[in-house]
Amino acid sequence: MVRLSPEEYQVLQIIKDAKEIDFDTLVSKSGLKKDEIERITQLLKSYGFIDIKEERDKIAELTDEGKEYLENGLPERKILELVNKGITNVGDLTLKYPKANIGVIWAKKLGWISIFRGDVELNEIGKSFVSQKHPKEIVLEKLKYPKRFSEFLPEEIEILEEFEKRGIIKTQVKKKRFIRFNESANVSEIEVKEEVGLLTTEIITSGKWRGKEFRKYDIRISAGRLYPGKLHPYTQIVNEIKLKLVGMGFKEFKGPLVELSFWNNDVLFMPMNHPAREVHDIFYVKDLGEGNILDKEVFENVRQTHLNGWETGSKAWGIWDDKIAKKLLLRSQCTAVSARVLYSIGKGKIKPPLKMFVIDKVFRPDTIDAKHFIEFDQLEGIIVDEKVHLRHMLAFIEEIAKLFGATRVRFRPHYFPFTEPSVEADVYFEKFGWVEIGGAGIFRPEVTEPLGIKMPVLAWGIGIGRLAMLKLKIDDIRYLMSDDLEWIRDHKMV
Amino acid sequence: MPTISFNKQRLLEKIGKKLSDEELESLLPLMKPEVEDMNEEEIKLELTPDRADLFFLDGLARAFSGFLGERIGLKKVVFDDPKIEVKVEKVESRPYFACFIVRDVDLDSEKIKELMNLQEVLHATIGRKRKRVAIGIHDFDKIKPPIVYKEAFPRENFIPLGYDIEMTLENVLQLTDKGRKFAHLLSSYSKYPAICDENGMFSFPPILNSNRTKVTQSTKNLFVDITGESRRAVDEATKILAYYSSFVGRLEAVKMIHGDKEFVYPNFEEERIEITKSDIAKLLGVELSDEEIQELLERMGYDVMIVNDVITVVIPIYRIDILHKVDVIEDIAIAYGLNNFKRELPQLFTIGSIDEKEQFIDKLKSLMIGLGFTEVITPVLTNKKKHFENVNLKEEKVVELENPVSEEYTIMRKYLYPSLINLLAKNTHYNYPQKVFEVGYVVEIDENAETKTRSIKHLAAAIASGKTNLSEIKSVLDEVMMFLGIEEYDVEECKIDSFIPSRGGYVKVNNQIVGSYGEIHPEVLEKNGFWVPITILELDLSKL
Repeated sequence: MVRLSPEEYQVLQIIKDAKEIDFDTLVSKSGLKKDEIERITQLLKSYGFIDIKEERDKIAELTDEGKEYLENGLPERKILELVNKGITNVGDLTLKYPKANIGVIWAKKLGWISIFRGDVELNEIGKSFVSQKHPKEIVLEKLKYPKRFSEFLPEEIEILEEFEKRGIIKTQVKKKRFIRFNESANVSEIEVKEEVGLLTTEIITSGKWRGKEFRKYDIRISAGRLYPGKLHPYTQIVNEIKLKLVGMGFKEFKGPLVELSFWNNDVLFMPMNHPAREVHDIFYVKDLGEGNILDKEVFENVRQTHLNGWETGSKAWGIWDDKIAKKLLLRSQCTAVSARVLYSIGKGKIKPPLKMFVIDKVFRPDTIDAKHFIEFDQLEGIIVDEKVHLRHMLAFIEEIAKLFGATRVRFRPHYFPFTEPSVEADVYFEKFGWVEIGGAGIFRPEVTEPLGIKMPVLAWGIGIGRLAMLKLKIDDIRYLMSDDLEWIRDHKMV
Repeated sequence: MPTISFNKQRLLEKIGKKLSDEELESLLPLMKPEVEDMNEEEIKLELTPDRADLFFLDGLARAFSGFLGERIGLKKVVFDDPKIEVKVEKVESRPYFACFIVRDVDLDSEKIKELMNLQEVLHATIGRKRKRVAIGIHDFDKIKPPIVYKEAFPRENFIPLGYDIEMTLENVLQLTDKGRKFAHLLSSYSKYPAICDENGMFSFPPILNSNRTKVTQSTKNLFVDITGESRRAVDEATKILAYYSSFVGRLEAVKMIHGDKEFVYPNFEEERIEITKSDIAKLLGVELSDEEIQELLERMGYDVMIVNDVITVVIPIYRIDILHKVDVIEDIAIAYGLNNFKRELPQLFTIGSIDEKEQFIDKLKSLMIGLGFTEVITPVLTNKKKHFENVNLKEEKVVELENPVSEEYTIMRKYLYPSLINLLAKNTHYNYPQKVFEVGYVVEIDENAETKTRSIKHLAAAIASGKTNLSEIKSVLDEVMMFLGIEEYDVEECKIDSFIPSRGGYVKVNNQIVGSYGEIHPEVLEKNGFWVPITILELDLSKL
């Protein structure tokens, strides 16, 4: 004797009447919830009343090329039309229709045309299709919206396969579940008995559950997946770093994405003819003209510093061009933000000592591939105080590297136009070995003094994208600009 | 940054010290050059652009052996007295000219190759692709003085290097590889620079030398010419070339005649920079003794005199990177060894904080997550098709790139939701419902701003689901506004063609539009390949 609840019995009846039914139809016919049907079908299967089998069905969807053909006709149709109009030379056809070579191949395969010494001739079959649709075209029309393969006739499947090879459609596989009544099952021995299944408000408030049995649930049953809202994994990393930097006494600053060359390059003592200003290193803004210089005095200080060293004692570069300084560009380094903060200190708006950091976007023209993208984040910071020096800077970098889980740090001398001394840091991770993570230095007097800063300024920058990729175990930087929703959904706690 | 290959055996010979590959690889970077690659014969180094004096083997070896304590102190670059005269006329297209002679050179094929390499590297670096400086090197014995630097007409003839026929200068610019590559440097001039001797023109700077004066293995004496856009540029290149030449022969200056003025060139003298011990202590955080300072600076190739607290440093002429005393102090740090400094955290109390707007954004993000939205991050750069056309938006003025690298990314976005639509369109094969949000930058044009733009952050949220509708997204809006403490706000029907008519609205606070929300028009859905409805919300956070 098998005991079923009324709902279970009802589901069994639906299946029995239909003999075979797919899962979704069963859900809608029964009026029950998906997970309830999931449970009931598993139960009925365990009693041997039904079989469940999974079928894979393909979904076909037009590609951009396919959409174009849907709108303008298949290349073979275009060829047929053109030849019928009397254009028979293959060269002429190509001039009239860029995809003529594809069209000719397929029209020939269909037996619509024959080719002789570069001339196309219309065959009888071809003529018959001038005013008649080919089955391929009927299939193409059906594909206006994505469709399952199973919705097509068997002879149309072949056409779909051809379309897939030609790149007219792309396909994806969907699983579909069918439930079939087991004819040999003995359903006469079922006793329908009311049990307490889903606990409803009505059952609780009426007390109907008293004295009744609770339906046995399979506690191992797999529930459907939830897709909770969550932070992007990269944001989680950034937040963690920010928290640690704040813990070390760093204050966060932001700056504009579109910058004046003045703040991005000139204040940083990058000579006017420096290669990093060229179009392969910086994106420039079109049609907006020159930016506005707000502080003429500081502008003049910087100009003099480039030309003759101003009061800094530098030999300087001897060149300057107002037009270049006023150019608008997309910030190529977050040091531009540091420069603006130094300016505020010089103007007395911020009082040192100060530790500041910025973690924000920069833009650089580059080939776009797994390792490079044209916008990415930089993490930079400065430390401004009367008494700081190189040994402090090296210790700071070591401390910051430890935030990322590095165990050792070593330094090499390097060259940046705006710092002296300049160093590069390699850090050691137990998992990855030595990794180059960024640079640091003490701002040159040619950078600080024109802004009114007389004390040393330690500056450091970290390649945050690289470290995030190591931490997230990804080898394609494009994940950081999530194209792939499932990657975020599946990502574990960072 | 230039990458240059050196003959490893010759380098080691010149350094004068036996070093293993491992030692080379670990020691060279301590002085800046990084080892890119190394095999039995060659060592490939990445050099920093400031140290042009390391761009050739003798210079690198000299600096490195000094660094290792082998050959310390300053190398003088000395010129013999001039024997020949060079007349310099006014040349508008390339006003500055320099030259000198190198006697008794002994060139093998390796050395010629090195010379050509150095010329190319200098063109690419301090020469700024020949705009700032261009260099020509000739067989001096093929030149018949008097030598004169002057202007030539485009129709004048000359046999360029590598050719055996005469060409007009015009043709050189049009027909030769180098001509085509560098013709733009002369395009705004009607007359071109030329260096001539008794037999006519033998150099066409900055394009090509003549075939007549080509350097071969039998060349015994060199004539080096340098032309450029400024005196400083020309002098810098001359200093590096003279330094190089001092290793291969005897340098000889020339008598330059500019109109009625005559002077000897090159006439460089070593510059002196004074630093104090407290300068060093302040920057590096170490107190060094006189002996230590002397030893460190001499290892970096300087001569040093210390009197009391003042250190007078004599700068070799070829250290064209030394602009300020901090550059010398950096060299002290390099000689000391960056990894030998005792690292010490400063006792420096500062109060850290997250930017206020970012704190606000973090709180808002937590609400969005509570509402079931997943955060996405999409690029600020996009294109007009994706930003306007794909979502039926009328084109507006946006920041456009002057030099885009791809058709995909040509503008900076002004709204956020087109990015979300674009993202969802790439994820149609994943399970629905899909609820995503982003807090990201958009850029607006503002003629009065310093940068003529404003970079601000927007919040956008999108729901793609078989069941979504206007009231669902309106509830999201209501929750966000309540969370932000904005009790009073209006919505007003709007005509944004992304939305179904009458199903889209502006959000207004104090009569100012702060955002919009609505149900996406099926035409937009169709364009982007969706088969589920989508609703969106976008708010300008700079106004909230």
